[in-house]
Amino acid sequence: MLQIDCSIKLNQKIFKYKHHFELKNRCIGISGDSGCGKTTLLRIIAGLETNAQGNIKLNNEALQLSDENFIKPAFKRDIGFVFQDTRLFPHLTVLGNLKYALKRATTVKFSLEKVVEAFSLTPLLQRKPLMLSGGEKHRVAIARAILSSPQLLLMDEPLSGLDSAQKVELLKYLKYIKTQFDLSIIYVSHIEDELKTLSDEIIYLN
Amino acid sequence: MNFAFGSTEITAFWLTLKLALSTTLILMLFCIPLAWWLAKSKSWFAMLVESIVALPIVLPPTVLGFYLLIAFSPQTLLGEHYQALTGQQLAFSFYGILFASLIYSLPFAIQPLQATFSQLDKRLIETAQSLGARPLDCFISVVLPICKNGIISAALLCFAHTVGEFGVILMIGGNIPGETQVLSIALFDAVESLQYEKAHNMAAGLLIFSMVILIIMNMLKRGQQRATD
Repeated sequence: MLQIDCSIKLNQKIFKYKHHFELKNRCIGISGDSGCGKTTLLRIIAGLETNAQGNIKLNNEALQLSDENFIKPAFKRDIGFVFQDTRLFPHLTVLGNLKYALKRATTVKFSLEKVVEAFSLTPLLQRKPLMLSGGEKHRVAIARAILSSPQLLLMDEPLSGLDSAQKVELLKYLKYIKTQFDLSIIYVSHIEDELKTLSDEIIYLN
Repeated sequence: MNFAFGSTEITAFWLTLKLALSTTLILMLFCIPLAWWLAKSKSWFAMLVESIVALPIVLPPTVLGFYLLIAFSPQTLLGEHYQALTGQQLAFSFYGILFASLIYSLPFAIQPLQATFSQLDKRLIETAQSLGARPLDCFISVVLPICKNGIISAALLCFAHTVGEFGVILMIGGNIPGETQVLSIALFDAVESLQYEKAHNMAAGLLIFSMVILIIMNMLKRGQQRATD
């Protein structure tokens, strides 16, 4: 369960969030117009926006309690993040990127072999990110986030920037991992079809 | 021109190498964390530190040498403690010119490092954090490898700058063979005593060395640009 009651001021705009997400290995879709604060919400949950004020609890464990001046650092939150722009480490190969997450996972829930197979990454393992196509980069980024065995996986428009063929292919992978991996996911997108295909529940942000 | 080197030049060469390597190693250890902090911090204090660190670039070497000479005298806290510990004076010793080199070459190590760290894509640090990397782990596993070429360039610049130091070394160390007579001082000494062949050999060696360092630095810079494009 994820409870959020917080606000943040960014670029003269105030974003307020009051949500209660029942996770339990479900995928919660979040939709809303551009600039309504979808990405900001994910960044606050992940601990990447430290200026937010309020309280956040994940499975009854506090991530942030502003009254007590407590904020858990991002690296201790056990929350995975798939960024829109993939952000693969350029100095590491695909295998290096995957192992980076695996080495730092607090508990190893998924084996490297299983994830590599699920995302068909075997032929790409020795390649550097510079040598990958857009779709391949997204697959590696998702696989890497899963390998960190997070309590909660945040996905910020993981299909953005891809052409329609690549989107269809990646959507197929995402549907597959939803059935194969026990993961609680918060999936942000402004594309209705994508959300309907993947989410168990859709929330609209104003 | 005869390129045979005498014992004076060989001693000066080894002393220069020892000084430049020691300066580069110490400065890299000290400057990498400092440059990282300067690149990240927006506080006025960081700006003040940045200005102080850059001072040797604009300060005449003789001014710096003069103040260091005063600081090294046995009447000051630094000079007194050093003499009590070692039984020697800091001025006109190898450690004296090493200390002076550390201060004089400081901006030549800090500034390229700070520029490299400032250009680093900060989003990669967020990514490492989201994968569970602690700040030190993130610095070692992401920042250092990505900034590798910039760090090597800074070390080369620092090394080359120390090899070329003259004014400060002359003020602090004088011209003692085997102790403070580095190549640039030995070259000056050769010219003063009208030994032009010796001077030619050392000057040509320093010229070629400087050119090689600049070529390597440019190669590293291009490599870094290709990696980030």
